[in-house]
Amino acid sequence: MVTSPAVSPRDDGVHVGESSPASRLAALTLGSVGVVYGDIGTSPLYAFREALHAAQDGGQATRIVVLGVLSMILWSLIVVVTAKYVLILLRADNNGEGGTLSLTALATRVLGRRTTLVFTLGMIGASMFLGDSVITPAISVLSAVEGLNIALPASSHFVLPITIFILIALFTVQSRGTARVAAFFGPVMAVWFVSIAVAGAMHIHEDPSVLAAINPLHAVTFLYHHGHIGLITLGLVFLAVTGGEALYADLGHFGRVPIQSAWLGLVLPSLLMNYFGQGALVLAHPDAIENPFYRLVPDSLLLPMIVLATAATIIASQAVITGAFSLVRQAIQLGLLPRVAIVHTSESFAGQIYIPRVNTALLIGVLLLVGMFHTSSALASAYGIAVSTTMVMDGVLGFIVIWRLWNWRWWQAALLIIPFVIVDSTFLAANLLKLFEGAWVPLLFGIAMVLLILTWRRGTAILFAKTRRSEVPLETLLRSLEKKPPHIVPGTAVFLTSDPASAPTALMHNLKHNKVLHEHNVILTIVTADTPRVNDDERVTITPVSPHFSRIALKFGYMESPNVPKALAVARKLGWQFDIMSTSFFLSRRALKPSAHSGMPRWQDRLFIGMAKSASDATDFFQIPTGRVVEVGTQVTV
Amino acid sequence: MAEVTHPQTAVPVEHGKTGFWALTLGSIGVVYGDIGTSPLYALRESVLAVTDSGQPADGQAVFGILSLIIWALLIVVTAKYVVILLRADNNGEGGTLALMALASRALGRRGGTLVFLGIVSGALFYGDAIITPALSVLSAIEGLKVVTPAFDHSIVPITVLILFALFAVQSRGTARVAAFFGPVMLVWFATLAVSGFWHAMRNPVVLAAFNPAYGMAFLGSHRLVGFVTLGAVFLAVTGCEALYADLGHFGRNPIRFAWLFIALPALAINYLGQGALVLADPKAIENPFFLLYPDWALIPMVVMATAATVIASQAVITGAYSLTRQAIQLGLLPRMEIRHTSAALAGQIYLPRVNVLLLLGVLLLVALFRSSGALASAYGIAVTGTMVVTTMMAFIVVNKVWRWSLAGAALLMAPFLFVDLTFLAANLLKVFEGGWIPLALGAAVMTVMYTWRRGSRILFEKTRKHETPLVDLVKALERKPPQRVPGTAVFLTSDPQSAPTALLHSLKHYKVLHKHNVILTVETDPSPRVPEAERVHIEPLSPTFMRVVLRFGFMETPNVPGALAIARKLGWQFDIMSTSFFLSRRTLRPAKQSGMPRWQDRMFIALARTANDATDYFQIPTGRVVEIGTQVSI
Repeated sequence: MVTSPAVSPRDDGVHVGESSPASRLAALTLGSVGVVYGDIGTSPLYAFREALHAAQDGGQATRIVVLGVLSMILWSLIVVVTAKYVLILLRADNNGEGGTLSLTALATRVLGRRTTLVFTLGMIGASMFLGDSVITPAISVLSAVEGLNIALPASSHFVLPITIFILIALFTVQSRGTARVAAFFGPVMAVWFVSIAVAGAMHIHEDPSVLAAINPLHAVTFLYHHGHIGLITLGLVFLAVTGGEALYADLGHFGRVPIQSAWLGLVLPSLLMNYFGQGALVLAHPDAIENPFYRLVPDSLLLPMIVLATAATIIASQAVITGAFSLVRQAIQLGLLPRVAIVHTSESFAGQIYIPRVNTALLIGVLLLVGMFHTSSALASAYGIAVSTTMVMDGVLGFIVIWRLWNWRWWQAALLIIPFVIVDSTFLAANLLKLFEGAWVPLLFGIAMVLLILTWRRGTAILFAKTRRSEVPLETLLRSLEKKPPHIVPGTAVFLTSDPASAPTALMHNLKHNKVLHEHNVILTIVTADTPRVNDDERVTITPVSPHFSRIALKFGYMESPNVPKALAVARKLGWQFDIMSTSFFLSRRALKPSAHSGMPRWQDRLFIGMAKSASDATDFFQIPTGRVVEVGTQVTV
Repeated sequence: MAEVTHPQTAVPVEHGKTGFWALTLGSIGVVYGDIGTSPLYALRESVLAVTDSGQPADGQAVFGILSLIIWALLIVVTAKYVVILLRADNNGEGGTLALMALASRALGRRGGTLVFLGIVSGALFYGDAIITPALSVLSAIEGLKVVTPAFDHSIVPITVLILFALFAVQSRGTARVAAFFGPVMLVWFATLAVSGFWHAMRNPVVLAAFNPAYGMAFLGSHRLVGFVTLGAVFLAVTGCEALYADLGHFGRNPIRFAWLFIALPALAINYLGQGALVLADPKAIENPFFLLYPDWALIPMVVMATAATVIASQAVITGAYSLTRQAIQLGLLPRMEIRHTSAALAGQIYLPRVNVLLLLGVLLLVALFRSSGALASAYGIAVTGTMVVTTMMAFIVVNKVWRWSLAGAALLMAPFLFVDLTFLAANLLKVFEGGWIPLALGAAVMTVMYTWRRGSRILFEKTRKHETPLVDLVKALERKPPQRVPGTAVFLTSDPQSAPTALLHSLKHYKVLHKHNVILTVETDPSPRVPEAERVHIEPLSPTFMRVVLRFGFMETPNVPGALAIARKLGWQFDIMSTSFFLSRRTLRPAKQSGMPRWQDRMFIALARTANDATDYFQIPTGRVVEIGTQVSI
């Protein structure tokens, strides 16, 4: 097997030229508006409507209800997003990287040991983040297209087909990479935020008293007086802050200052204006509750607004998909998931990746959700539970980091974090009320992810323990071979391996079962470099080890498809006599068998074997002539 | 690759020994489950098809629908299937694939069209196999709504639970419970008849529905709505293709008797009773089946209906296993693990992968549609498609095997084809509501089958070139022996006649030969167990080569080291610690130039990867096994 590169995880969603610091900051800020705030920026399409529907509970949307809901949305944005994420968690970076998994790594490091608690928290947080990536595209695109119900009531039959079409198109183009269009994301989202701010502002004058919702007492009294309904409403108010966790996950791409300035300077004010506008509209025209967002817009501008909203939701979905790719890659690098094929789509950005299998899984999940729920209102009941779980996990992990890394006293850290955890837990509880309506879907998805991660971790640990015993350092083997040489046969044997220090299993097998050694033996390692391409003179490194053995490392850039025979032709210039027709390439394969006695129950054995089988095999793509390849397999029980 | 041949199943029921009545009872349990549970929803959906379009469900409409249902049962089920198709057996076996074999034999060549038709009907059957359990169990549990509205929210969870349990117990085999299927279904048909009779007698005018003029008049006056209704009426006859597919298990006469004297009368009376109820109380259309019963009988009836629908689903699931095995044997699907669940009946099998896929499909359907009313729109297309195909093949059989003249055969089959096509057209109207699901599934299965067939051929062409007869190779090796190394090499292979690729590879890349070489083949016998004396067969080929065949029964787990211990008694000096077992593996890689487009290459490779590897279960100590893989570009 061949190591996949530790590609630097700096996903650069935007192209940042070499220019002055100020314009660089502006460019990054604009970029962050496009990538980070797509999800939370499209929440006004449905959040206020759904919360209000739940709050009025079949009755009238009275002033108390409207102000209560608005106040709750406003203060959620301030407490959860602004205070917790933008001001506090953005400072808890792991070498500039953010996100639940980075936070987990950071917490593990500061605690100085791997703890089950931290690992569990991180695993659940990451799994739930993935559970969420299925819902965001479905609900946001649906809610944008549903604007057609107002613009052209006759076209309401086409909402679902159009949504499905857009989603399929969105996932299909992922393989092409998004670098070319990503440049437009920032400007489009900036236009979006300005438009929703203007649309909201034009309606605030219809009932300026809506501004009273700034007073948090409205939220508190509403919750106090409405009991159960209040809690249900809270679960839907939470829709306004979903996507807030993305700004932390994308920290590495843009840096703290651009993300903070974009939020405080543009996104938060626009969102607040729009929500206030929706509130004023509903107070002035109670019938607007059917779809308060689109009713903000004058009829003549309705269609352009639908197009803009669709574009914004596509951008939001794009951000979530890219986020899922990055998260899965991080999980693979941390050994939580099996290696899958990762395609680099851009020469200039190592971070622009595409994971075919994750893409397909997400598309199927998204289409299923659209098929099961049909409307954004119905989907709203499925949304939120995963995000609020991720947020609780982030909060607890944040506590560990603040306490140990920032060297606060534990009670100071607790004093800072506990209010946030209480708020998050309240939201989680409110979202749990929706469990049977639809919230079980992301929960199930998240639990499945947790199960996969646990199985993979346990299985690889068992496998490692089993195979470590049979591993022999190459030098030791060579010494014993020289003392007692086996039968030598003519020809060259090339062994592909990912670990050039120990003897490849294929070699061990040749000695054990066939009792032969070839005249020339090459331990070949393929290294993928951080750069897109590698020059020919850097391609090959040859280290002679003994008269019969040498080590060769071939270096390829991440955009190149490794062509081993061609690279070996380069090696010939370096003095290695190599004739492909008398050379056999040996690949070591491992076939796993379930065993009756292992650390895992039988179904988990099988799940692990299935995952291991699906792990992509890099040697498939080395373009070695098939007639010269021998795959030597060993069976290992797990 | 060592290969286990799967036995041709013996027909599970021995005709001569078992009596006529036992077979009749058995056929009621297995054959008529699906069609016997149609009254749960068929009439309701038909009437709703009228009222949903804004027209009143007046007497004329109800009479028309009843008449259409009764005549569909008479023409499609009784005349076409029971009277005609049951005669078209292939050595006692029925079903579309058997009919395909019969027709292609009659034509004297392997017609591509016939194979295509066979693949179409086979693929459509899978669509059926996931809808039937979902629809029938849902419709039975929906009876709880009539008991009390409090159950409204628990219908989907209860259904999911029952379906889950049903698929979970499949691995245990159904032989033990199958004995109850017949009696339970008999009681079911009896309750259908009694409740229907009770209501029909209170409103005897419904008997007039036997007059086909009502059906014609309804279709004439309602036009498009009538046509849509026809799609729902078809629900009453779905499941009847099972009576032909199961012909081999029960024989012609028991199936005929059970239909004519038990199933048909009970169904007709029940539909009439439902009609009478709806005529008397139009509000009863909410659930005319369960409202036939007095309140005290509702809960027992829901239980009863659930049992009947579970039995019906069981028949479809078993059918899907059998079909999959036939398809594997015909080379249309990759090999999968087939487990035998009964030592007495070779036909009792369980395919874990098919089971899981069916369960996922069924749960998905329940989640997507949530009510039997919504699911009904997905049902029908697959069955009508199968029926059209069956009728076309039957035409060939009537013409070529029965030697009717072309005109006579056409005269006999054309009316049926017309009826089938009408139903197909009516069902096609439901494509956008849900009918696309079985169509999409069928298309997917067809693509898989087509790819597997095509890829296997290309692979065969590519590998045939490298095959060397074993005897020739041994002769050549004895004449000019390569370097020998100590120890014994055992090569597992499915084809003892040609040289295993692992051996060829050792010679090519290692240039050595072991002191002793054994070509080992593991065979699966059609009997459940093989006595030890017959287990091992040794045939020396040369001083250093021999051929060994190990035989295991289909209920035994092959234990190669155990069997080789027996071989030692037969004189083969065998020490497992100096023996290496070589398995040949094949890794496929997509080639730029091959007969198939790239996506199909990949699909074939993925399918080949999932193909079950028999050597996984041979219990050879893993430390002694070497898998020698070759790469083949496809």
